Amino acid sequence: MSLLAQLTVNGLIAGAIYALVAAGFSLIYSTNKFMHFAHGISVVVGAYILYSLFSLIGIPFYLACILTLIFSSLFGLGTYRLMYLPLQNKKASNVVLLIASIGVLILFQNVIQLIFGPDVKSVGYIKVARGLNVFGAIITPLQIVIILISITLFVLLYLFMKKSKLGRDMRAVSDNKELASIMGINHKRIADYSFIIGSFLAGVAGILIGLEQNLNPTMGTILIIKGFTGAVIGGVGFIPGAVLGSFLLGLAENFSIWFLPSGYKDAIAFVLLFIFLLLKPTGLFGINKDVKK
Amino acid sequence: MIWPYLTHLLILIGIYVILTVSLNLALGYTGLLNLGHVAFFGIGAYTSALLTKAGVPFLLAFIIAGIFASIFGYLLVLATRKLKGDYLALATLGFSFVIYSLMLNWTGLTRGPLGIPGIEKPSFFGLTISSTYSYLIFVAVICILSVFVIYRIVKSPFGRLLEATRDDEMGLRVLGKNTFKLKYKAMMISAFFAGIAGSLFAHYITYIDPSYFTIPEIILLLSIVIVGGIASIKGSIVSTFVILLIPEALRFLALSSSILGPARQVIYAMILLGILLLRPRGIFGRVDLE
Amino acid sequence: MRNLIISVLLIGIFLIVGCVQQPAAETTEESVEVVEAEVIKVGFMGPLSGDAASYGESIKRGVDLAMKEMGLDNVELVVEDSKCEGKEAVTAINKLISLDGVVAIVGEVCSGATLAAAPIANENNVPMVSPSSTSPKVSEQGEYTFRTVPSDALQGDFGANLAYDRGYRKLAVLYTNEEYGLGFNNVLTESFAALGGEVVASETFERGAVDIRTQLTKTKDAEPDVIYIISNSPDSTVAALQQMTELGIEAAIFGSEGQKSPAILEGAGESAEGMVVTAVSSGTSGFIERHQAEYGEAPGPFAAQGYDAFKAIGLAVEQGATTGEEIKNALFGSDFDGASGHIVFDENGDVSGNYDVFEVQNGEFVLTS
Repeated sequence: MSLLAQLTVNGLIAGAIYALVAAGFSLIYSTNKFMHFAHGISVVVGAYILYSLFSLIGIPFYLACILTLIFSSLFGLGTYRLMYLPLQNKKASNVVLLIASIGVLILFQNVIQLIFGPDVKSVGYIKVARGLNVFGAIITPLQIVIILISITLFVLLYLFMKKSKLGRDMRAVSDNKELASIMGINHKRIADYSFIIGSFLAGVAGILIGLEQNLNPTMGTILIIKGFTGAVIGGVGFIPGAVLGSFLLGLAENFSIWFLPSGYKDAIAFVLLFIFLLLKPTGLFGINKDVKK
Repeated sequence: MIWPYLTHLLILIGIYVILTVSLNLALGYTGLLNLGHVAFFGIGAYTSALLTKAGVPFLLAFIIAGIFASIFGYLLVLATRKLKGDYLALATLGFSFVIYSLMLNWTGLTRGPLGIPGIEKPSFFGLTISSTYSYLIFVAVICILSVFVIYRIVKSPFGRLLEATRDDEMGLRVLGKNTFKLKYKAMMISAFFAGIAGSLFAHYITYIDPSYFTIPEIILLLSIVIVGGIASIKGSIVSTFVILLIPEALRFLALSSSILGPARQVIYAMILLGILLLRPRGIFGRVDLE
Repeated sequence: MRNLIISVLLIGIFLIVGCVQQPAAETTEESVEVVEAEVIKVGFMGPLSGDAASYGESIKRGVDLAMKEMGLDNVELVVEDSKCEGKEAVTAINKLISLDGVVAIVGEVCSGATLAAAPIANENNVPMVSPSSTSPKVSEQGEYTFRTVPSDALQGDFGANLAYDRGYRKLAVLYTNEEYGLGFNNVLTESFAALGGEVVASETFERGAVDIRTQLTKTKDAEPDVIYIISNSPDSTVAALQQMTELGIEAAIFGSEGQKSPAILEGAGESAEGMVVTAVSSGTSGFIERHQAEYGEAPGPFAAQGYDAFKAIGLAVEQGATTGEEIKNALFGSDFDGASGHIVFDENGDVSGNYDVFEVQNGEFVLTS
């Protein structure tokens, strides 16, 4: 095994997982301009729904996946309609929404523990086996799928934001809400869509992460921190950038640990975040006008 | 025999009042969206603990803890002076994570995850504060002094300049004010009080490790300030009592022990969300950020 | 709309309280009854929410079982959640001592929280019996701190000898980056080196981390013949085991006592096959059977130690001890066969280290020595 190849592959796997979380988070941020940290729990809810449907009830896997995606989208829409929208209607500032999103995260994390208990759960669809040898590095088929899906997401999101009517409307709202409503774009409708699509992506992340890692109620916090860091590195309001930033984060963590003690692994992400913000406050691919709000 | 328990809670509340009122000075009054306040708290705690372990008298260590945190406050503003709004929030959050990793991994200095046990109780002028009751008096004195000082600051012309920085930085610049100078002064004062709060905390708990100074703590501090209201000292004080006492009140809820842990958390989150929905600007909030 | 949501939140709160009022009401009645018989309150504190909650649950089962079996009708258990955080533990112990008036406590679970709470136990003369805090520093916490689990100073040494005796010479350690992991790692690597072995890699991870590939890749590159996992998070252990399989790491795997958990067998499946766990006793066969009968599951980590911690206190109460000081004195005289073995506390409140060696065979922990 070549160490370099393996570290690259490890970085890609980690990055792809971060990207799955970052994509939805960033999409929601870009149109709504607040930090939806509860996105982390949307992912976990997705994973637990898959676990209940497939592992507990025994619904066929692909059907269970489709249902998971639907539930996740509804869950995201629900958080928006029932929590954020009423707050926004009362002119709550974005910091209040941030605290509310953390409240939602704590709430559902513990609801999940009440229902499923604190133990590790495993979906058990894929048997753990020694991975394939690709250019001297070892990787499992599922991990290849995860990386491919992340890359596909990157392309699709890019096309969606550039080409589709809805994507262009979203960008318009993201750039300037007032101007967008003058142009006849209903920003509440756009916000609905951003939560539906963003949480759909959380469902995708929940399924894949649920298969790759195991499930426990507290996993959402770690996931959202990493996804969020990836998103920031790539430019928080620019979705394809969030995906690239996540890959960059995964690779940076892995290569730095090559020569640093592994206790610094999590710190690398934050040192990187800090440096990026100082040198390039809009993230690698960000658009400049966001800073001077 | 409810008193020892209440004394303990009041000591914690006193420490958190210093923390949140000082955070409100930077976040609420100056508009610096600082998510790194907990780092100053940690720096203060570690500085004071390590110095007294090395034989430095408590009072000196206590002051140095504040000054040291204050220096970091200056550096943070210096490094992030080009950032605003969410991006400033992210950078300060990053800063607090970096400080946390240093506490965790710089084992030569901080003993890393092993933490620092046996931090002595404060003693000065020949008297040692050993009982919790006397510690409460000590904390109360420091707390009242700190709140008084911060209150005077925000009511002074300097305080009004800070609020003007928050509301219209460009306008202030046009008037020829150096807003950078205002910001770092506010942050240094804010960090100083967080640092001495850290010292009070370390010498009270007597055992600290890095896990005290990370995300849950950031969330707690931020929730208190937001629930209390931006730019309201009264709000932060009231909110400290409310937010710290809710989980304590929940202890008296007769919950079956098999679900007690998560059920309390669920109720706590619901109450927090309920308060936000009822008073989206905080209990005594008068201004909005952004 | 907003009012609707607030009402929903309120209803939710009432529902939760309502749902659990039933068992709670029973306890209150009980306590009313036993007030006449001079009720003695014993506290339990440990993580019941957050990422260490599974340990708290497992230990509490042991405590509940001991309480049920001893049938002490003048003893009431007061449970507090500490989330394994120092500050929470200090608040919890203050509440237990001053408000509930407990005379003894089973807990804390995590070493860091025990160290934070111990000074308060000492000040108030309330003995604390930890079922699971293995940090060597717990020994130095004064005469009111006891534990029914041996110090890591012993287990690290035991593990080093076991690995060396089995012919392994190149050791890699993978430990959780906190009090427990670092303390254990220090003893383990020192002892292994003193025996003449070589420590080729020493990597850490955060509690709950599930991406351990980088650390494992580095470990694999160092070519150890044995890897020792020191973890108190089943999530991380499961992830590490699976990723070892994926990466094709063929070194032998050893695990510290926290690894002897059904959650790990369930989560890691075949990846756990062949893992050797040096564990404090998970209970005598009688205890395991009774636990199985009560809960329908084998005991989780430290359930037996939790049982013994309560039993030690319970026996002291049976002998007539009613105050913290009397219980402390009685604990120093403890001498009984508990669920985890023979319990005698030394002058530091420690028990001697008896370790079992288990090996995972066909998805089960099999006792090998």
